[in-house]
Amino acid sequence: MSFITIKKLKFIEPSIKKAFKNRIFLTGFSLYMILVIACIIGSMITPRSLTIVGAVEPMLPPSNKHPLGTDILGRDILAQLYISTINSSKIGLIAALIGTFVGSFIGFVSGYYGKSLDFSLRILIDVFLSVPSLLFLVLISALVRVVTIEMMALLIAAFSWPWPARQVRAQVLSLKEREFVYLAKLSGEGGPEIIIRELMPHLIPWMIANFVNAYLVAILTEAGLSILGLGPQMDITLGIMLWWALSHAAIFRGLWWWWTPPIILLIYSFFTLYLIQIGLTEIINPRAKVM
Amino acid sequence: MGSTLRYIVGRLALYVLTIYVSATLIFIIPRLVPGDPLTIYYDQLREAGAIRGTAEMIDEYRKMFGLDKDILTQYFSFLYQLIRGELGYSITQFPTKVSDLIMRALPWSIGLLSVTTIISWLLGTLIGAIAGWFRESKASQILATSALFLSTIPYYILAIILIFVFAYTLRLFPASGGHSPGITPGLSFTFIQNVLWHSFLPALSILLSSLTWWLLSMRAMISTIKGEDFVIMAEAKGLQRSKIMWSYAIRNAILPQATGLALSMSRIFAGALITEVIFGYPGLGTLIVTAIRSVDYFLIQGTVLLSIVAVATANLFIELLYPLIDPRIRYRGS
Amino acid sequence: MDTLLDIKDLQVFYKTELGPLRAVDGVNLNVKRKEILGLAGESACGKTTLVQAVLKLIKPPGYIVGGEVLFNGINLLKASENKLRQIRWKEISYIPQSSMNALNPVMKIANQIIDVIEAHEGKVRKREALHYIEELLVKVGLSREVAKMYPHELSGGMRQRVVIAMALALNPKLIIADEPTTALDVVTQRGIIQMLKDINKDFGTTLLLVTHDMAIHAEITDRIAIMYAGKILEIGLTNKVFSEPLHPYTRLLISSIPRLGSKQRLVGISGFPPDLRDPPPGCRFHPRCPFVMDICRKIEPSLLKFDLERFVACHLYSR
Repeated sequence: MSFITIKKLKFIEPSIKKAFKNRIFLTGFSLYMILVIACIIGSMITPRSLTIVGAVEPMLPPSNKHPLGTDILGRDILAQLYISTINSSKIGLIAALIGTFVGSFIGFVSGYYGKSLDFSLRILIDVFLSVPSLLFLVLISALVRVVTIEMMALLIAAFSWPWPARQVRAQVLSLKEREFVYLAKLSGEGGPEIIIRELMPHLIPWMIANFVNAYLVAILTEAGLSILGLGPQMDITLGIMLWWALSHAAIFRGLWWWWTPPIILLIYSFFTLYLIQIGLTEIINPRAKVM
Repeated sequence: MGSTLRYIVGRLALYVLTIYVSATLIFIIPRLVPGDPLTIYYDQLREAGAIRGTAEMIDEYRKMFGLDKDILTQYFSFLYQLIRGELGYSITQFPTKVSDLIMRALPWSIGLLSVTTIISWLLGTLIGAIAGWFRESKASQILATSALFLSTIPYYILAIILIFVFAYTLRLFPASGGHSPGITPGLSFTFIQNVLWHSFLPALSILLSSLTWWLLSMRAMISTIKGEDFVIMAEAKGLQRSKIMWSYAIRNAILPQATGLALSMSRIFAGALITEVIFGYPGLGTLIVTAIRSVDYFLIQGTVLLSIVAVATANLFIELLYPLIDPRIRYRGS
Repeated sequence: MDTLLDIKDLQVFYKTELGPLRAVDGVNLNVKRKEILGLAGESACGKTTLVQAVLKLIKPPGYIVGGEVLFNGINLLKASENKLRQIRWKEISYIPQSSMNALNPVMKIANQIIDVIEAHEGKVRKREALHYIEELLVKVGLSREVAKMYPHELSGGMRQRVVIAMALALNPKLIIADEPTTALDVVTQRGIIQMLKDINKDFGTTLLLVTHDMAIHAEITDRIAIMYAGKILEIGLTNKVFSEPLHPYTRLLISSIPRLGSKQRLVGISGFPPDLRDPPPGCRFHPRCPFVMDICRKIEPSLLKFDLERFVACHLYSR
């Protein structure tokens, strides 16, 4: 078993080096990490009390005391922002992890074991892919009244598995037929060994790309649901901040400091995550030059 | 011709299956929540004081949906009703039928979505093709970077920004509604003008973001195809640049672009839905959210199902067009 | 003028992360009217690059460093875009390597040939053009129905023939064929080689045939040029070169052809072709040459006239 672990590590290290050489990936990754770390630090040094309704004087524009001002319910906006960003990221992380792992597993099983299992799983994947997931999420959140971050993440995860499943399945199908698998079988490698030593190194880059994609989509989805008022109401996320702002007509009351920061952070997040995605695509498929 | 038939049948099968599975999920999900949907509303209505008509309504429903029967019979009568196009009555706006409410909202959504999708796809593809052909030029690079930036902004966020700039600051366009309250709906010139004025910002939000998406994908596609053997061959044949760009590069890139469109239908619809809500635009989006806010169960069910059918149908429509564009599918089938 | 195509001092490099790769490094070659000139050499010796450069089809990271390609007195490398476009296909046509991918997947065969006709001769009437194309297809051994088909409906060999038919469409003076038979089965190969022979005989079309297959050279070329590591080592009449090869490399190439009936061991050439980013000093073949001398390691031999029709670049023959 340890022999397999060593082999895996040997393969990972040069790949990580390769990844960080790509300028686009590097830019996106570092920018996004800066945001996350800044918010983590920020949330640690800012007292929670500032985010409770009525904590401070409402509708104050940005000042030294409140760098991003306060909202109509008397909450400091910067304090909310730190926590919102972390929460949005948490949802993205949980949903993406679950979705990618479950999806990859299903896709793998479907592609590797083939026959009738593949047939039924493939149809399942295709159907789930053609269904507009947001609509179901809207339906479910409306009925279940999602309340916590974790619940939201699980809900989104329920619809983020098909895409990784399809990708991994396609990869496994094409890899299965390649010579090196036949060679491995001939040289006496057993099932699990083939999976780990021969197939995994090819699948892992895809799984990582899928993870980043699922992460981005999860944050996007949560923001959308929250703006509609279906978000995890017990907490704050960037989307929920926007919902509060819009419900109180922040734009037309001239409270620009309320709705601008969440939007800027959302755009910033999406843009940097997208850069990471492009970088990963270039690394996995060197012939595809996106820019 | 046999392969085309196989392809069409395959697509249709997936279409029907998707709708069937969606309908089943729409049936199951609410029933996983404890409590009989009707009783919940009966209580809610009673609390709100709307007692008149409630007893009749519940009887009506009990008859129509057979809620007193076992789950399996309920399921089949649900499906049966669905096929007949019967979506039930709205609880909050009884006795209006769900289908009527949908029919009122549908034209708005279809109008907004189809116009913006078609324009953004056509324009984006065209500009993207030229940008891809002249990829190394400064203009193309600048265009690509700005498009990249814009494409990461979801429609509804762009909507908020546009409302701030054009509705609040510049007061050029209205921030909400499909038409001004005072004007009577109809085919009059003033009405249409008014509608267009109200639709401008919602359409722009969707269009700007969508356009950049198509632009970028086409640009990448054309750039890749330009290096293919048959394009170099076309050059060796001494064909005109424009001919090569159109008949060789673009002709081949259009199919993946169309595939991309089909795959994006759900995503585009979802984004448009939220955008509609932000603008209070009287389409399906606002209808769904109103239904949610008032917990109008049957309205929620009907609108969600119909949206799924709409998206799936648009998707199917595009997929059925493939054989016309790509001869390989005509003869080989997917 | 006897010479149709005159290549002088052509240099084509490729940009790489470790410096320029000298794919074609000072090639001098001429192609005489109505002849079949063969260009032989191992894979990656620069044959395809050379040929693509002639038609100015080099794409980044490749770039033309210098030299001239004279066709009917016009330097193709310096010609205007328009002039070049006029010459392409009408005067010089091209059968690329792996013709499988040289056809536009979404256009019918007939239309792909019509568009090249129209590009050079102006608008044509569809029916007449179709008739002409069908005749053309029959000439290359395909049925008339192929005209209305799409590339993916044809086998590799059929597509190859389509490209050949296309190359003949405008009756060019010169056809450059790059490995026209490599990906095909022996029987189809035979047919195509014979076809090329006939085209040359019946229409007087000049042929520049590029292939690593020495047997094909032996069979149809009039003269042969041997290329190695971006340089031309020997040029001469094919039968003379085969019976009395001068350059050590040529000798090894020819002896490596398996002969039916003989029980000789197959002799390969030891070693590997040099890295063209950093070619060896002096003669590029010296590391593998069984007759290497001191001077070979220092000074590069130039292509010198040995005989009436023979040129060789080797210190063994320079006075």
